[in-house]
Amino acid sequence: KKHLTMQSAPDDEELDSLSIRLVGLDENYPVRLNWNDLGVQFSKQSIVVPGDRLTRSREFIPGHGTLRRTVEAGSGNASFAAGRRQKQNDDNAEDNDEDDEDEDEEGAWELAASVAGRQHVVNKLLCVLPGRSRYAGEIGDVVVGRVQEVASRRWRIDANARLQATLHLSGVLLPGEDLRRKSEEDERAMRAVLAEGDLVSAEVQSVQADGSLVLHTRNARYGRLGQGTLVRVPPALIKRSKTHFHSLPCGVTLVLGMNGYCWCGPTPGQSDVREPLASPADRSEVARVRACVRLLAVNHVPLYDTSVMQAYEVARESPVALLSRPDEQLRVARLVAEQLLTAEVGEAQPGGGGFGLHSGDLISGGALSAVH
Amino acid sequence: MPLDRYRNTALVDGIDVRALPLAGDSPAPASQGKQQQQQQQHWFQRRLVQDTVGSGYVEFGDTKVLCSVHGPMEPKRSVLTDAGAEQSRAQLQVYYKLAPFASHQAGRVSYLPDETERRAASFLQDTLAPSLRLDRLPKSRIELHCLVLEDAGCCLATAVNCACLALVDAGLEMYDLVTAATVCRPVGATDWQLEVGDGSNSGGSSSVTLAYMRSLRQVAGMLVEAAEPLQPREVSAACRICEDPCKMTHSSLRQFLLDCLPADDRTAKIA
Repeated sequence: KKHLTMQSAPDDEELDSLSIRLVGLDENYPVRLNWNDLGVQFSKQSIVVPGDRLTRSREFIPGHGTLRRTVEAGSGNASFAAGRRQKQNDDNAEDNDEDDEDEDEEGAWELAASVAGRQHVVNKLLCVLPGRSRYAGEIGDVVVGRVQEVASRRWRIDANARLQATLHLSGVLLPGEDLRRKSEEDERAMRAVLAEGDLVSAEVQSVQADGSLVLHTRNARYGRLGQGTLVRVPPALIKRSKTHFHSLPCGVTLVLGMNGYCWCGPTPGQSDVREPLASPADRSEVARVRACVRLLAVNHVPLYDTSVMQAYEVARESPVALLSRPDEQLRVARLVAEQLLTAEVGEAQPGGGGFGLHSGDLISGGALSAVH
Repeated sequence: MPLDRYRNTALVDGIDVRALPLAGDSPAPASQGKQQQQQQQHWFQRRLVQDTVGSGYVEFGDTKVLCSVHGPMEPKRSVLTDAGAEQSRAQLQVYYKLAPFASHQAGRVSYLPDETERRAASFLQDTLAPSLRLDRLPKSRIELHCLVLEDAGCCLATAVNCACLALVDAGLEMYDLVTAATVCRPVGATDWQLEVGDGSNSGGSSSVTLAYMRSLRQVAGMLVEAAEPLQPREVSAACRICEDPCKMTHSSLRQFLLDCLPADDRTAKIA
């Protein structure tokens, strides 16, 4: 009797013994959208790996993802490396044409990469942006978070960042209030506003020195999110736009948090203090929107209102359960990607080709220059 | 000994799957699976594990290791840690485990980590912690989980390579890529040989595992497991032999990353 189920290797002259095959590595199994098939080429220029030397020139300011290290001209670290320093320079970094710079001085330093990603130069700032990293948070970002703890005069919220985010009692808009001091009574009634496990949409008020976020909901748009579903996607896929609250025509509200947490729920009626339980029809629409967000995220299609609505249009007629199958997800994502690409080609930038890497704070599209 | 309540221990007396004959096959040992040339090559993959920040998978010969990285996240609050120095850097915790079916020699491995696994976890922690920029992430915790799916020799070095790949995939800042290699020497022999992943190394050999950071030309970690008394010059001779395989692994890992990183920019937004 076999206790373990394993996929045995296909008939292959190289592998004729039992070997463990991980699902998803088979070429015939379509898992992700392949952008190369749609004609998008990703340039291999200026990709670096941790430890690569970026530049020796002193004119660059180190940005994110870079570090300074001293060039060790004379010191050998381990005795066995003594004879090999000659051969070291030619296999060290990508651009070797910087060896015509001045020789190693005492105390000379160089910039090296500390993450794997693409290097960017903006004026004199040199940084390396990784493909995906933890959400760091910026002032003004709309985020969706889940309350983890109710502490004294503040809530601690999980916002998909390195540390828990804080929402102060003074940062929420309580119903029926003007600017008044919060009293003892308010403090005891905190759980009536937000309890553990509640979802809340908020805006980043500030970023503390240790990287934790301080949120606020001092706007009628923000606040506790009611019935609905949370979808977690990589934060890099959320495109920054003017508004992150979208009321889709099918009666679903979509909140795309910049931290990668997206919430879909039925659009609340006007000024209902206690929302009625959503009908099954509403719920299936919410499920459909949620499936659309999920399939776009799995296939690395950027998420914004247009892409989600296009996915919804394509997937409108399919049963919702079908949308969790990978081949169906791939089909829908491919259609959406094609539509998005044709829309962009119509407004192509001069100097063409490639995708501008939108980091939100540094670059605004365009070709990337190599570092010299 | 703590009980592992989450595991179903009903399979303790199960049969070893390798003993099951496949139709049309003679019951051959697993080491005949791959050709000689492939034994010395690494095969890398990444982003295999869902819901993790980063993950990597490395095959070296028949040895297969899977690593996943969680974090950086909230540190564990413990009464014993003092608030000052502990929280100025991130804490790296490594969990290392052999799958129950992984070992070629030892038969079925228990679900709970035994001493070799704990020693391997501690080696990984000592090796990888200096290569990460932990001071850039105060008040955080990074968890690294290593699962060895098949151990056919050179398993610790492969775990180091895999952990490095997972950490790079997670986007954590590092000083350099860490790669490792192992040399071994049976008792009584004089030459150190590079250990390959085909299960050909017998249990009773001395081995030296060296983890090396190529761009910095620094040793990240070294583990000596001696089956007989070793002289210092023998150990340093072993290290010297390890250096070249470490550099070659560094090149192939670097090339793998350079090939697959451009596709990461799919996350670049359209327009």
